[in-house]
Amino acid sequence: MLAVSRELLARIHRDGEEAYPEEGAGFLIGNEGSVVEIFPLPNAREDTARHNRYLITPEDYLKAELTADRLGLSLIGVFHSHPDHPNRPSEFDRDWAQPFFSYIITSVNKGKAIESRSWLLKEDRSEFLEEKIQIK
Amino acid sequence: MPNIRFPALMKYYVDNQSEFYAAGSTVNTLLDNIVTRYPALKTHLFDSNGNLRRHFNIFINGVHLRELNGLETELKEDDKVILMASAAGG
Repeated sequence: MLAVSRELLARIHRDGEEAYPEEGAGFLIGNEGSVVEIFPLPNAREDTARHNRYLITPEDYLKAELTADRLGLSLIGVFHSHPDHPNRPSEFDRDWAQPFFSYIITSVNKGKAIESRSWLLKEDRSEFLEEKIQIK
Repeated sequence: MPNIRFPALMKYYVDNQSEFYAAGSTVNTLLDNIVTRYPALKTHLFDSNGNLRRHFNIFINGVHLRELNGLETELKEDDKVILMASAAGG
């Protein structure tokens, strides 16, 4: 289970809407299955791929990791949006996924964020399992 | 022996260390030695073809491997190796 406040979930939705028709993304910062802060980051993919791909550069990754350290917290996951697409992880998502991270995916239809779901990669990397989002 | 720094997320697989020393005359042999020491790391570090997963980037003394000799880059005793992740999906 991943606990997220209503306010942070609203910010995640807003980030997806602002990025539309491209994918928006960022890190979830927190501890023990609880999101305390989010860290939106630019989508570093090339222009023609940003509608269905996102990339956070190692430099931005490090910046987020240091921010989490400063807050006494950890990076616990990634959020990203799926413009005009269901909020289920793609094969591409699985290919790039990291263990232990929660992956919140928000479907954004015609510019409006509809719903977020969270996913965890299985230890053998064979698939994602859904984890319930608890609004705190 | 080169020093290697791991992303915080991967610490679980390396005895909760963020930095440690490992032997290796090249980046390839260094990674092999690390995976031998921490076998559970293998599937997360390498894909099914044995290639380093694309979301990992390696810097030697601050220089990315692609600007050096890739995984065949030779290492010196006091080199600082940083394994960094990028996040991506679609």
